[in-house]
Amino acid sequence: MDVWLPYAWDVVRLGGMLAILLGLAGPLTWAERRQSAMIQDRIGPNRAAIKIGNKEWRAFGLLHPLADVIKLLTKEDTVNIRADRFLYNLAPFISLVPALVTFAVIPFGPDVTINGVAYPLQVARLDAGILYMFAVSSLAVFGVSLAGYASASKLAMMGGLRAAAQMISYEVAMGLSIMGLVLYYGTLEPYAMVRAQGELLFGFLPAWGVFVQPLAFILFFTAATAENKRIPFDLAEGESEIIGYFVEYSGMKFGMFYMAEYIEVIVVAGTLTTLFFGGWQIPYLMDHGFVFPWGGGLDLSHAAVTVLRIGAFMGKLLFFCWFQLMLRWTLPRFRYDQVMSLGWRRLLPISLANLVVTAAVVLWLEA
Amino acid sequence: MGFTPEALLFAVFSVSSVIAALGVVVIRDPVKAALSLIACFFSISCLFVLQSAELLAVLEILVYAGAIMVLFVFVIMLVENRDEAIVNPALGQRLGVPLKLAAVALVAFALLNGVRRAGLSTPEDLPTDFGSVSSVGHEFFDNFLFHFEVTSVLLLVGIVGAVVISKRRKPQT
Amino acid sequence: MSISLPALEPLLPGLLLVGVAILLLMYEVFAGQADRTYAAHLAVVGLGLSMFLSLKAVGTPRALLFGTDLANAPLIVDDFARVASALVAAAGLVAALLSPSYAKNAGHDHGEYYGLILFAVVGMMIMSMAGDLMTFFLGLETMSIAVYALTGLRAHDPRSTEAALKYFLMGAFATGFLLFGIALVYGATASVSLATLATFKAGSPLLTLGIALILIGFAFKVAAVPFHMWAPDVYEGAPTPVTGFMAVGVKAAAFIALLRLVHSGLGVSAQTDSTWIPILSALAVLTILVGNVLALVQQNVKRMLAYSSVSHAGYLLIGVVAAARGEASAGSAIIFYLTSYTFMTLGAFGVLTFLERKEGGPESERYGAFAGIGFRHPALGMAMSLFMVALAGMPPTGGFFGKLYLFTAAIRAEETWLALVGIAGSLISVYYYLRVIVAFYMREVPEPGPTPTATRSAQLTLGVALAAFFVLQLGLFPAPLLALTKSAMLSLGL
Repeated sequence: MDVWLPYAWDVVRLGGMLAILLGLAGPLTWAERRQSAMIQDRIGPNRAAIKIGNKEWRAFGLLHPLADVIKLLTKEDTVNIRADRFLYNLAPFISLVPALVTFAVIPFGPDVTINGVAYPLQVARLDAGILYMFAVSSLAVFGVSLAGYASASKLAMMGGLRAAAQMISYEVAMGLSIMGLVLYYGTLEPYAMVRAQGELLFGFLPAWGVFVQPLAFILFFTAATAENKRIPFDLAEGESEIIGYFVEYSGMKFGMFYMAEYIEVIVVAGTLTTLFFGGWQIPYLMDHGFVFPWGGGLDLSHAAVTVLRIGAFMGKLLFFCWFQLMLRWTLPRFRYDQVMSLGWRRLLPISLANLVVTAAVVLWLEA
Repeated sequence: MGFTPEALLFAVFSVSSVIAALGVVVIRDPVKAALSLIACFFSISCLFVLQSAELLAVLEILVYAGAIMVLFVFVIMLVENRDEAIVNPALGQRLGVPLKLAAVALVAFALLNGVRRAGLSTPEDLPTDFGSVSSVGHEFFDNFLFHFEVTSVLLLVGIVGAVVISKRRKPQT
Repeated sequence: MSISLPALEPLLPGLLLVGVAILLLMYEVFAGQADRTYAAHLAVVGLGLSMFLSLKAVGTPRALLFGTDLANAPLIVDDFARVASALVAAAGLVAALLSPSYAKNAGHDHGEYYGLILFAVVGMMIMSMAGDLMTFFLGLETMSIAVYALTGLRAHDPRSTEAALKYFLMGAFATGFLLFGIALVYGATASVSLATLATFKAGSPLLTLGIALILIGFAFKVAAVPFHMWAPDVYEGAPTPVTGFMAVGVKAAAFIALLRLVHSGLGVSAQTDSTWIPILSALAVLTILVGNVLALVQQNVKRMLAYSSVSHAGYLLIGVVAAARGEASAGSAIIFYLTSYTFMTLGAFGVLTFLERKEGGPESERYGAFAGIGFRHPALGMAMSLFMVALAGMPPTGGFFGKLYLFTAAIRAEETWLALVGIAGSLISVYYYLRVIVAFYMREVPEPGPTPTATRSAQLTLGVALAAFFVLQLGLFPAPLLALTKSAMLSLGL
C-alpha cells in the first residue's frame, strides 16, 4: 500500500490539474460570451436548454459550452484538398499539449502533511520550473505556424506567420521580465518562490512579486497577452479580417485550438498568481494561522490553513481569468507594425533595464 | 546493470532520438525534416532528464526547440515553394552513400569503444545537487567564468554581424 | 573565485580592442551620414597600442588567467601568445589602413566594419592564448563570425553575398567537425585542457578520431586541400581589404593555435601515434601541389592569390609536420613565415585595392586589366613587384627567409622530401607571381582604354608602404624577428 501511495498521489495531482484546466476552459468560453454581451448591452447566449418535463432549464446559458462540444464533435471534419494532411492533423495537438502541460509546475496549494509525510499540491517540482514553463510555452508557436502552413490557405498562412513572428518577439521580453523576480527571490522553482512571497516587506507589505517588481508585472502581463494572441494583440486571428491560422479547421480540431486559447488564459492567470500575487499565500496567514503586523492573530489548524490557501489560489486564478476577458472587450486591436514596435523597441529595452537595475539593487542589498 | 524502468526509458528515447535524427536526413519535405529534428531534441532532452541533468534538458527545449527551430520553421515557411523539395540528390551524392555509412560506422565504433573503456560513473557517484540550477551556475561563474564572458563577446559579434549584413541603409551621399 | 582587476593586466591588449570596438559600435548610433574615416583611425590607434602592449610584455614571465595552473587555466599569456597577438594585431592594423577609401567606394563605410575587424582580432588573440579546447573554440568562433559578416558587406554585389554564404556554410560545417572532435576528445580524456591532454596516452580510438576531426576543422579554416573549395570564391567576393585580412589573419591564428596544440596534446599523441605524421604530410603535399597548379591557370588575380594562399598553407603545414616530429626550430620558422606572409599578402591586396574601380566586377580583376600599370603608377608597380617577388620566396625579401627557415626545419626533422616538394611548389609559383609583374610592365597599354581610377587615400598609401617596409626589413634584417620567435617558442617549453 505504502509503496503505491506516491504513484496514486501523482495520479491525483495530475487529475486535479487536468480537472482545473479542462473544467475551467468550458465555463470560460461561456463567461467570455456572457460578459461581452453584458458589456455591449446584448443578452448573450441563453438559448441552449434542457427540457425536463415541461420546464426548460437554461442556467444562464451555461449549457452552451456543452452544446458547443456536442456540435464540434459531431461536425464534419473537412480538410482542404491541397492541405498537408499529416501536419494539418498534427497542428492542433501541438497547440493544445504545451498549453496543458505548462501548468504542471504551478503549485495550487501548500504541501499537505498527512501522518508526517508532505504531499505537494504541484504536479512537478522542478528545480528549473520557471525555465520549464518558458520552454514548454515556447513550443506552442509550432502548432500555430504549422496550422497556418499546412492549411494551404493564404489567410491561414498569413495568420500563422503573424502569430509566429509575434510570439517569437514577445517571448524574449516575457522571459527577461521575469528574471528580476528570479534574482530577487533567488530561485527558479515556483513553489519556493511562493514560499518566499509569504514574507513581509517593511513589516507589513506582503513580499508579493507585484510589490517587489511592479514594472515586471506590467511587462509580463503585456507580453503574456501578446503571447496568447488575445486582443489587443490578436493580429494572428483578427476575426474581422483574416480569421487566422485555424480558418480551414472545423469540428473538434478547431475545438482544440479554441480550447488551447482558453487553457492558455488559465495558465497565464496561474502564472501571474504564482509569480506576482503570492500564489496560494494569503497576507498575514502563516502556517499555523493569522499573525497580524499590528498585533494579535488567530490560530488555525493545518487543515483549515490548507483549505484557505487553496481557496485563495483558486480565487486569484479566477480573478485573473476574469481580468483577461475584461481586457479583451475593452481594448481595440493594434496595428501590426505597432505590435512589433512595442515588442522590440519598448518592452525589450525596458525589461532589460529592469533586469539591470534589479541586479544592481540585489547586489547592493546583499553587500 | 539490471533491467530497470530507467533502462527501458533510456532505450526508448535513444531509439527515438536516432530515428528522429535519421528522419532529418531522409525526409524530403524541409518542414517535416525540421519537425523531425525537434523530435530528436525532445528525445535527447528526455535522455538528459534520465541522466539527472534537468536544467540541461529544459535548456535544450527552450533554446533549440523553442527558439532556434521556431526560427528555422518560420524561415522555411516563408521562403519555401511547396511544390518542390529542396533536396534533389544527384548521382554523385548517391554514390557517396556507402562512404557516408562507412564514416558513420567508424564514428560509432570509436564511440562504443571509448564508452566501454571509459568506465562510466554510476548515479550513486553523483553529488546530490548534480545538474541543479545552482550547481550549474556555480560552474559557470567559478570555473568557467572566462568562457562565459567570452561567449557574451561572441554573441555580440554574431548580433552585430547579422545586423550589418541585413540592415538596409540609405545610400551615403 | 574572484578576479581582481589588476590580475587582468596581461589581457590588456585584448580588452583594449574590445573596448574600442564597443565604442565604435555605440558611436555608430549617433554618427549619421558622417564620413567613417575616424573609425579607421580609432581602430588603427587601438590596434597599434595593443600591438605595442603585447610586444612590450615579451620577456616577462608567463601569466595564467582565471586559473591556478596549466591544467585549469583557460588563458595562458606567455611570450608565444604575446608575439602571436602582436602579429594578428598588425594584420588588423594594415587591413584597417587599407579600408577607408575602399569602403567608401563599395558603400560599406560603417563603423561596424572596423568594429568587426577588431572583434576578429580579439578572437585570434584568444585562440593564441587558449589553454583549453573550449577557449580555443570560442576564440575561433568569435573570429570566424566576424569574418563571415565582413565577407558579405558589399551587399549590392551578388559575388559578395555568394562569398559570405559559402564561407558561412563551409565554416559552420568545419565548426561542426571541430566541435564534434573536441567532444570526442573530452569523451576520451575527461578533460579539455591542453596540458592534461598532453599527459594522456594515445591509442584510444575515440581520441584518435577526435583529433582527426579537430584537424579537419583546422584544414577547413586554413583552406588546406581537399578542404579548400571555398577559398577562391570567397576571396574573390569579399571586399578586397577583407580578403587580405582573411588570408593572413585567419591563417595566422589557425596555425598559431595548431602550433600550441601540437606542442601540447596533439604533439604527444602524434609522437606516440604514428598515423598523424603521414596524414599531415599528405595534407601538406596535396595542398602545395593543388594550390600551385590551380593558381597557374587562374585569369583573375584575386582568385590566383586565393590559390596562392592555399599553397602557402601547404608550406606552413610542412612546418607543422616538422614541429610534430619534435623539431624545435619549426615553431619559430612558422611564426617567421606567418609574419612575412602577413605583410606581403596584405601589401598585394593593398595594391589591388588601389586599382579597384568603382564599378568593380570580375573584369577589373583580370591580368589584362593591369596592363601598363607599372608605367602609369611607378610606385604601385614597384610595390606590387616587391610583394610578388616576396610571395615567390626570392631574396632580398622576408618571403625568402620564411621559406628558408621552414624548409631547413623540415630537413632537420628528417623530412627532406617534404622540403623538396615545398621547393618544387615554390618554383611553380614563380611563374604565376611573375605573370603579375609581366602584366604590370610588359603588356601593351590599351589605348585609349579604361584608365583604372586609383582609389587613393593617405591611409591606403600608408598601409601599402608599411607592408612594403616590413617585407624588405624582414628580408634584410631577419634577426630581430627571429629572436622574438625564438623567445616565443621558448615560452612553450622548447
